[in-house]
Amino acid sequence: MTDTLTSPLTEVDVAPLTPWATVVWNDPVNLMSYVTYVFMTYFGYPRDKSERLMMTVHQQGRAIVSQGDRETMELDAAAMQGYGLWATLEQV
Amino acid sequence: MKAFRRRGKTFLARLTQNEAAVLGTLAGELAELVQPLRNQDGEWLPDPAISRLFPDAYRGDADASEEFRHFTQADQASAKAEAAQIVIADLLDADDGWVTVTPGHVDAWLTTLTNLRLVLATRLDADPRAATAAVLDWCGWIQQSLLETVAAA
Repeated sequence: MTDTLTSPLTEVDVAPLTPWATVVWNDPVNLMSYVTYVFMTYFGYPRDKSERLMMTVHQQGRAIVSQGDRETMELDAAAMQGYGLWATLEQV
Repeated sequence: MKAFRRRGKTFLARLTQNEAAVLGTLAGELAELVQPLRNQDGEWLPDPAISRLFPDAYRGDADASEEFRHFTQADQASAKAEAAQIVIADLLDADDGWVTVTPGHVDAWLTTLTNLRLVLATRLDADPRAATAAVLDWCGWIQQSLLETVAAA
């Protein structure tokens, strides 16, 4: 750890461009093939990317499936919940 | 039941009368379950299935999650009920046991089967009956069959 330097930039200036994320959590009920289908259908992700995300959810317990502003992430999280996936949103 | 297969642009499965009745009844119960989500005092119904169908969107933040529900819950509940009604209608339209699912109805079938499995899984947690587990697995089998057929189309 280094000492905190006083930045001339305000916090707003250095905030990441996409500070919010939609997270999908592993649950023991949903089929792996269904989770892949949802990522392909809703986000339009290719099959390989959708399968990778699904495997991350399955093996690591969660995966960030999209990033953006808070309003967009609320839409994405609501859509994932609409598909029955266990989805939350959080600040990155 | 015979697994889903493709015919032209649609997807067909054959269900016995009993199977169609079971699935239709479950879908009807699901549509009813998601409608009165709160009691007269506006309190969340204490049903673990409801908690799973409408999870906290903000982990560890009850207030933000409640606000999120305030804006999304009615639409989510209607969408789940409408999807279940589509499945019921398709089952009623069956011809000699053959149920036709159009591409436009695939999402309704997959989400309804998912919602049913989520509800059955929470029921199973509270009351581990073999019959519930069998229906849960059966819904998964139907879902997998439709997913594979759609993916191959």
